[in-house]
Amino acid sequence: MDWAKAKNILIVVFLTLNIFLLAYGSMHRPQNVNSNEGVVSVLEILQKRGITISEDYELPKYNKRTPMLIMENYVINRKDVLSFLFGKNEDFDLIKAIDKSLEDDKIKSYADGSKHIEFTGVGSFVYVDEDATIKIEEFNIEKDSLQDKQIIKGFRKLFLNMNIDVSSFILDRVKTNDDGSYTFVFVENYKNYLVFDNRAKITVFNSGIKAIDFSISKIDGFSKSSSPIMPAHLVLLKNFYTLANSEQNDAGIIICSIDIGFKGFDDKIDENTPNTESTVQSPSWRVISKDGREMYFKAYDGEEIK
Amino acid sequence: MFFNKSHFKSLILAVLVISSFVQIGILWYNQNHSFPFNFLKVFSRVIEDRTEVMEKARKEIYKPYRLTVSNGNASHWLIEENSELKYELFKEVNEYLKDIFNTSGGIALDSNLWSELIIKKGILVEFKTQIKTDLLKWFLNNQKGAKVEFDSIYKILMVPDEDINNNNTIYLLTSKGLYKYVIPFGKDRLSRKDYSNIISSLELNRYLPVYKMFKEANPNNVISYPIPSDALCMISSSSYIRLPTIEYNVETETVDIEKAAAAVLGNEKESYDRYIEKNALVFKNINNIYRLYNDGLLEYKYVPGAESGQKGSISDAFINAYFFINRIKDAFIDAENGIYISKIKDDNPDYYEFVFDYMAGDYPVYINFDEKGNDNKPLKNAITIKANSKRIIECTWYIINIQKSRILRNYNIRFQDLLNGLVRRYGKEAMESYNIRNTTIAYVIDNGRNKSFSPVWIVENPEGEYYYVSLDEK
Repeated sequence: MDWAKAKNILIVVFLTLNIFLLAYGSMHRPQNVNSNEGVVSVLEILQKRGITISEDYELPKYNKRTPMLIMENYVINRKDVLSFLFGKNEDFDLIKAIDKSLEDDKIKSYADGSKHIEFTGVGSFVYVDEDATIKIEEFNIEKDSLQDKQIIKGFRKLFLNMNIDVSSFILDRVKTNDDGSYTFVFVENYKNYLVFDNRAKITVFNSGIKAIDFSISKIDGFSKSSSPIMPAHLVLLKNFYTLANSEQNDAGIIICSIDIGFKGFDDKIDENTPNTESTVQSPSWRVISKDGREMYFKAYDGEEIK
Repeated sequence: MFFNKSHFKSLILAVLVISSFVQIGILWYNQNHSFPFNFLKVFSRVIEDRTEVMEKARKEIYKPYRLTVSNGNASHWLIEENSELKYELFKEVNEYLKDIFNTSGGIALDSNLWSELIIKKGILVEFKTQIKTDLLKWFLNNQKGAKVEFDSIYKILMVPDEDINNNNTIYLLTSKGLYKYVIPFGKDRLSRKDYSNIISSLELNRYLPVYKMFKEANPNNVISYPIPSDALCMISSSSYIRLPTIEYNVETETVDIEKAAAAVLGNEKESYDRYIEKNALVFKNINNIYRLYNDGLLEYKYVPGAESGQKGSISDAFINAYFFINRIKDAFIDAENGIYISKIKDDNPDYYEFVFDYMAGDYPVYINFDEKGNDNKPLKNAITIKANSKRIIECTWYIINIQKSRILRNYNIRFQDLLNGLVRRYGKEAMESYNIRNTTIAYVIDNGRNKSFSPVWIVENPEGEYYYVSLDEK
């Protein structure tokens, strides 16, 4: 075989192939929607409509193919919750409290004095205590000197007393309320994604617990397949561009936080949640505006979760 | 330095090969991890083109519920599903139907004449329910036709020999009564002689069961039950036909959630969250919820509900319904499982309701569950879809795969025996007062523990309720 001649032919063939691939690739190269220029253009358009990003905040550039999150029910032990939150009450009798039914999961609500609790699901409850009788030492500091680490320590201690593992929750934000109380909002962080439905809102007054709004599901992991997502700036363009013309936007909207995570649709359209064994949620963007509004958008298609 | 030309060429070649692989890899990644060249889609079995799906709808759904041929001498043959003749004759009838829609001008007749007409030599095409003319025009791809006097057609009778000139005669049993049309035999169509030859060949075929119409079987009104005059019956003492039993299985029982999502949601699957319940998979987004039960029931709801002003034409609504049916049927049901339109409701201002049922060969499959789904509602049809020109509003579908047994058994279909069976089961009084609209051999799938279902004989009233009796095996 004339190897020299064969090489010449192969060189010609591969050269032709390379030229073809180069031409084909440049014709079909996807628009780099996440390039700096692209992002800047979108933000300029939004700015003209009164939508701005807070000066001290940088828009996330996250644009990876993202899987869905698989979760299953986390069953809170209601006895532990009741014992801790009501145990110090004089007349509290745990047996009486659950005596209404043979099975624990039938307990929906319980009240005693200034305290009231309602179990809204197998892994969620809402607790209110007007007198804020349960004190958590780590919450006993004036706002200006509140340290994140201290708050988280107090939070974990609180839930450890109820035998609920919140070790992967992080402090999301702190709100100051008009009556001088603070609301700490914690959200679970799973592998750098926020799981928005796994959250705790704790309202504290003079280091006493005034309210707890808690919800948790157990995370199994990610789905095997991933899909492309809509980057943050395009989600803003899709949803806020038209909003800018509405009456709600007389003063403009300032976006102060956008985070990627997971959130489910509102379950109020389906009453069948007790039968749900596991859930697979698609990724979502959370947008928080300076006026405190929280909005969620599905990341695969940019649709708002209302 | 000694310049080795050969080595240089090898180096160039190596660089070019590596570069080719790199470029293909980049294209592969950018094209969603599939082969970069689209020409391979020509070999794909997936029907993506909208026009193709609409053609498929016409072919799959627009079929006669029953097609019989008569020699005008008290012999009628039920033309079977797998017979080429059935489609040849149906195609002919449709050509005349197109002529009728293009020209109109029929003569209205007294509906009572129908019982005299159906015993004539001719071809009788029956639908299970009145089919709206607008939908028929869409099926015939003839939407621009003239307006006709009626708004739906139930049965079509073609009588080739009636007219003395070279014309065919078509009778339509419609929502507004009976109409007659006289239309010349078309150039590319079957001639009068062709029809006679077809009938002769049926007469010569000894293996085909031969029926009478009830009118012919009961000329002196000895049988007093209100059986329709065009009910097919056998009256001789050895009236047996060979029929299979049927079984069914539920494909969705062990389906993988991703496969189910792709089948049910199509290209929109990423916009849905999934919920795994004890007995169902749920797909939900802000406006839509699908629930796919392990026992094969699929429920869909468009949460905002039907919006007014979106009803649109029946053909647009039907297209929406069929696109949905086609996607799911392709994923879960074998191609040979037929479905037919068993009812169309047009009494809601915001949507149409289409009801489909399964066919096992030539005979319909009736579904009869007292309780299904979370609401434990009765389930009496295979598919019920509410749709308008914009979307599907609601759907309930019992997704099953029906198989016919290979072994055929002989079943007695002697008319008198069938009637006696019904009387024994339901009582004479009940039979005498039952308003019978349709009689047929069929299969009934119900709550019973049977895995295998034998054929039955059904008499059905206009409301879709029925009495039935099992056929006796020889």
